[in-house]
Amino acid sequence: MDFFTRLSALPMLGLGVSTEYGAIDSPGALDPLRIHAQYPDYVAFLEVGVEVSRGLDQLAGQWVQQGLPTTYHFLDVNLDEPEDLDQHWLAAVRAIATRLKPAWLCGDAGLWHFGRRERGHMLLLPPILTAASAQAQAGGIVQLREATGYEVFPENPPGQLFLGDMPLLEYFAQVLEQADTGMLLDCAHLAMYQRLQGHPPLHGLDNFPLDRVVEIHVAGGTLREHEGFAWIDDDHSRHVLQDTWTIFTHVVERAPQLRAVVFECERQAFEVMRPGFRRLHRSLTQARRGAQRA
Amino acid sequence: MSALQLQRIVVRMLYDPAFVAQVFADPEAALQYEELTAQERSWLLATDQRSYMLDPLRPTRTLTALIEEFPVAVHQVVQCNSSHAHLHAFFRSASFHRCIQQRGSLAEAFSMYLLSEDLQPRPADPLFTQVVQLETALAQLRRRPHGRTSTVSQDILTLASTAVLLHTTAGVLTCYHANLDRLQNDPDGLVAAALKITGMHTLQETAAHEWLLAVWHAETESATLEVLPAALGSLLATAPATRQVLRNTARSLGADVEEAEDIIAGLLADGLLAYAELAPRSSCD
Repeated sequence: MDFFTRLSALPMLGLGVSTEYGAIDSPGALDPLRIHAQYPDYVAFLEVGVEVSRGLDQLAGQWVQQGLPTTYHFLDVNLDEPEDLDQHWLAAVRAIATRLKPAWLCGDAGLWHFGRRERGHMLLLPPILTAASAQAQAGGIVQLREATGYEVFPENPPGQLFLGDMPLLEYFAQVLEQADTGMLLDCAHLAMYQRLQGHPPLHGLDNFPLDRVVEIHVAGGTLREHEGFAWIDDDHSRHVLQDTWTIFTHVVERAPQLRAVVFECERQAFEVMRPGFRRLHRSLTQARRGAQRA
Repeated sequence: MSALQLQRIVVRMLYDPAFVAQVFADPEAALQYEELTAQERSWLLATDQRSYMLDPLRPTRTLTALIEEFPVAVHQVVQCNSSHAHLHAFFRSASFHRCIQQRGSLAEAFSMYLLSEDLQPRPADPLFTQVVQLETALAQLRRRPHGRTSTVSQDILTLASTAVLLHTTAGVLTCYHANLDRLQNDPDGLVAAALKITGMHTLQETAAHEWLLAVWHAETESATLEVLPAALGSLLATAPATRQVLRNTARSLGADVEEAEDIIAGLLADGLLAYAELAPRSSCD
């Protein structure tokens, strides 16, 4: 069964928020359960960032207990490294997925840890942008999909260093086609890449298969400088950069299979982020209406 | 070179500013042992050199995780050198670079680094090496996948994967616990305490030795350490061995025939001995 046929079985999740182990304990952090109760359209689902070594925190457990929708965002697998998808890890993923009952699995297709999956090894780097690497990523996606029975959507990772001979969007287009899967497009990560390359925010999107975009991430970032080198820190802060909004607005109107938008602001206060939620919800609703009319 | 190998060079550069400087100043020399194509080398050099330095605290964070696993050994390094510089030098060491390039374990690499000539206390201190070995054993236990089901031998018995046996100078465990307790009870926390210059408990000179057993408890995700009776330590040190060899060892250590079998059966029941796995462990072991 090809991706577009399989896609029909996936739910429309709407707008949600991300979390990871212990994020809710940050001072003033928004409480997804409370916001879901007050504004179900703003937090319709929870994207749970998972390291199998840590499991699920109390928030994720409570969310699941109420039978609310989730997606499983992995934080601990290098998809292009075959030995990383070992049986021990896969068994742990299956066990957590049994609890979460996610709509799908997703996560950055990058280097989550160097060497083995051990304490102190964690980081996140983008892949080397070559055809061979794209093929390896696709292989990992297919392997994880077959091992878990869930769709697996790669996300473009953040980064300040991109090596290789392919533009990022061309690389991911190849990954998607070879794995026959959908994409989690992170607009903030793409904005980082475009700025680093000296490109305008929408560069290359015309040739990208937006019909494979299933999920979108939007997050705040901070402009920083190191010895004259300007870069964006993907810190999920309160300020969403204009480039990120530009990409989001462009993609949300052109992604017919879009099922979910995540506002990554897990350590921010809801009141501060409320205008962002409103804007995302309005755009998503308009895009859906437009798609229905079309 | 594969993309993963190239990415590992990037990781090394992110941790080691001196390596970055070498790569940009003299790429031929700095990368002479790497199987890089000219194109791959050009990708490394085409990036802005400053982009490798955007997170100067990255080594410190990683070092913190390592100190949590090697607190007493690190504390002793700090006492001997009166600074932390030797610890940060780990990220310039061959142990570190080899570990990253060969997909190794950073804890194992750090252990090797601690045991390197540069970090040996002057004058030599027998406690230091044994503390490193002890903390390395604990680090290994944390990382072993336990509870695997694979084909096992019907006659070869081995020490369980949840246990490590060490032969140390008498008093090492007492001394280790005294130092660890002090670090753990420091109001600034374990890592900060390990980096303080405060002096430490030292080992009394002795020719006597003792067997230490470290056991990992999955339910509490912690290890216990205990001094074993000499005969039990000698018996466990015989493993891996056949049941008959272990029985003979037990008898040579003073048990009668019936007691010898009871001891072996008891060690199996307690989970200290296990039937040896026939299938090789996975690469993450």
